[in-house]
Amino acid sequence: MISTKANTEITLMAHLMRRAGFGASREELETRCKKGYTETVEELLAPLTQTPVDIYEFLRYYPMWWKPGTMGGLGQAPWVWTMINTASPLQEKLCIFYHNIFATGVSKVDHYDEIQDMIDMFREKGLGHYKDILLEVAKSPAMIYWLDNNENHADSINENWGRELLELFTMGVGNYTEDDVQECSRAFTGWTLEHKLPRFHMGRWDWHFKFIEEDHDYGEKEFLGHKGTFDGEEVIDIILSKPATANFMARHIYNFFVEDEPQVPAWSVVPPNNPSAVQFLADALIESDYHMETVLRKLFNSDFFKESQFSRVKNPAEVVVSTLRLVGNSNLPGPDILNWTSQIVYMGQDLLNPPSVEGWHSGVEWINSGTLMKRTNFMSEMVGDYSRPGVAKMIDRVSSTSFKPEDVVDGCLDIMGPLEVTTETRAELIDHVSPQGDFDWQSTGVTRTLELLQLIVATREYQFA
Amino acid sequence: MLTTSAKGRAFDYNRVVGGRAFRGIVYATKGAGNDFFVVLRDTYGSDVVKLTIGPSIDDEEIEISFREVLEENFDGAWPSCAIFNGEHLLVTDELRNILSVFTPQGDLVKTIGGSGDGESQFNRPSGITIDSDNNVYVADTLNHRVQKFSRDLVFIHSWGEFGETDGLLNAPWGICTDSDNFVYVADHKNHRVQKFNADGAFIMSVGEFGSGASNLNHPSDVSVDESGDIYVADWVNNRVQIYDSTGIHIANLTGSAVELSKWQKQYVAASPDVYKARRRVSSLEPETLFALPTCVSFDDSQSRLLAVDSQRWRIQIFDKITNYSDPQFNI
Repeated sequence: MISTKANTEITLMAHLMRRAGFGASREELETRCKKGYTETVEELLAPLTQTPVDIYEFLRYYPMWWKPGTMGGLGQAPWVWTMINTASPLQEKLCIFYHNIFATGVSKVDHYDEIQDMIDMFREKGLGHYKDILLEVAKSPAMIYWLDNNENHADSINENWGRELLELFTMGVGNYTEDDVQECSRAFTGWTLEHKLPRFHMGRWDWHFKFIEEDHDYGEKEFLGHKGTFDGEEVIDIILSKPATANFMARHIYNFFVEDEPQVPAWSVVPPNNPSAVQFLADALIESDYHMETVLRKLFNSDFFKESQFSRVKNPAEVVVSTLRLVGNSNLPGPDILNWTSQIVYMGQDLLNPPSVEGWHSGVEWINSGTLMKRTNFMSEMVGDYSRPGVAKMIDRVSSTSFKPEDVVDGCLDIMGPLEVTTETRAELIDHVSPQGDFDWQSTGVTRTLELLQLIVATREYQFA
Repeated sequence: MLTTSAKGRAFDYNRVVGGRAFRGIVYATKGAGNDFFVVLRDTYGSDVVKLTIGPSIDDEEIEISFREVLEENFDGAWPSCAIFNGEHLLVTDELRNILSVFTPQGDLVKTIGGSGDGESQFNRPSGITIDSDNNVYVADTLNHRVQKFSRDLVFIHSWGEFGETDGLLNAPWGICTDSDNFVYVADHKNHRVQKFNADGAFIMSVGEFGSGASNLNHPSDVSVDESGDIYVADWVNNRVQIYDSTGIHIANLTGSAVELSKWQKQYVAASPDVYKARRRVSSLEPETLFALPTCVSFDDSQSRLLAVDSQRWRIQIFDKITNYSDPQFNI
């Protein structure tokens, strides 16, 4: 068995990789431990030092997915494949983070590629300043259409974008008035879409942002206590200058990376689980001018982060992607990628197609009798497949040190996390394997261990990150 | 640009063939007479379609859907490329790792192959071509090699392995031969075309990675005309690159489809919303351009180049004019 000191290091590294990535194999964790925790954080925060995923590798085998339509669905498959194969997992986690905040769906937009463009922007700018991301989102054709800003005219405002900018993307309910919503919307009049070619006779075309000067309201506005002839960018500057915005964004960051919070609509009435941690993040946001890389560096090195192990329920993308990265043999685009993408949908997270602008409810709400079965069935199928190299490696390691049922259980729990389980869970696992006695690695040992791994992924504890 | 001229040649836009029936088109190859075979790669229903392209504009008709002949021939299939040897159509299948032999009427004659890296085994085979003796060459993509077979599909030899130096390959895709039986391979992930003799000895390399005038980015296919000019489907750069027989860059084609195909015109005319939407855009020029071309096929019989414009569901056709000189510049 691994020594206590090594185990502590491994445990912390595994925690970091689950939160800032999609988990890691034991070999990767050991390699990272040799580098050190701080150095690993720095590597995760420097995605440009890694070779990016070649999306043309995917399109080579899935040519119809260049600008996929909605008929067959699953236009998010290239993103899922990118998550499985990335060497910069924090980039992809940030894409999920922002996608859940700026939740934009193909159910209305009807162009996967336009929402994917937004994801690509998150990948490129996700570690930068939040203002830049807000500006890009405000000019994103998918968002403009999703929240009707193409219907927001100088002489007839549409409040949809203006309201959600304040309610969901920056400040949260209770920190602005209805008048602010209207004034905010006025500032974004004329931010619209260029007409694009129709899709039906020869495929899809890119949408482009267009500012129509004649349709912009240049009049004076009174917004959040400020007076001026503000445009959209100036409104964003005012929003970011308010402490409420930093607090709201800090809670988003805490909720995604640290610990499950109540659902977003409750934030105006339910205080944070850890107010000092949220305040720490809010201060970091203000001090850094909302520079996400700076904030995340402070977060990952904080004590409250390091102490937050297994306090978040894995979202479905994390479940599927982390499992596939663990078991291996999933890098070549084949028919399986559509099934894997579907599995995320079955578990309740139809990427690029969130249920509403509010995004997905998270935490325990990911779990119900249907989605739990989907999770455990998928994971158990994967970890029960000895032909997958990651599974074979795990069993090799366990079998090299253990043959007593208790030791094999502990070895499997260690290699699958290290995973902390309750005394009852551990006892149940031991009870399951004990009747057959010691593990004979020359005969039934492998099969019994595969079954044990399948049981472990079905435990309550394994659903947490 | 309708006419691209360079070094005594002109590539003159002729016509466009395609439409919604060609969703998923990845490859086209010439059959007998005016017949052509088109490979359609739709994840939910791949197919090979036989069509005729007649001498005059809009003279094109789909004759046979191989899938409709027997659907199970395409169950779980990822057809990639095809070649007609005068008698049969040979189609690679990069999911089932087989080579299928069909009659021109779509009946399956036989298959060879299977998964692996041994003789006559494949790992995602894609490009396929024949030489003047009807020997068959297959780009065995993820085995990073070319396999050569007799006309009866008996294994002869193979060459290539993974790497980036001369003679080595990285995921080869399209393949063709010239009139002297030299073999050209679109060395996809090495961003170049390599020329070999029929025994697999390296002759020369054309192109290198980039988006500059003579560069390539993930080339998907290659074709050579009877005078030795080399055409490369420069996939990610959305163009067709043209080099002379020594590998010197001549010109590129970025697409010239200034008009809709027959089937596209029919669709637009029958769809008032589409008709109106085309009228309200600031420019129709994007419709002329290639989007991820996956096949180039030079038809020596009519001195024309067919380029499969995969994401626009069509084939753009260009006539090659030799001994060409531009009309006076001050006209």
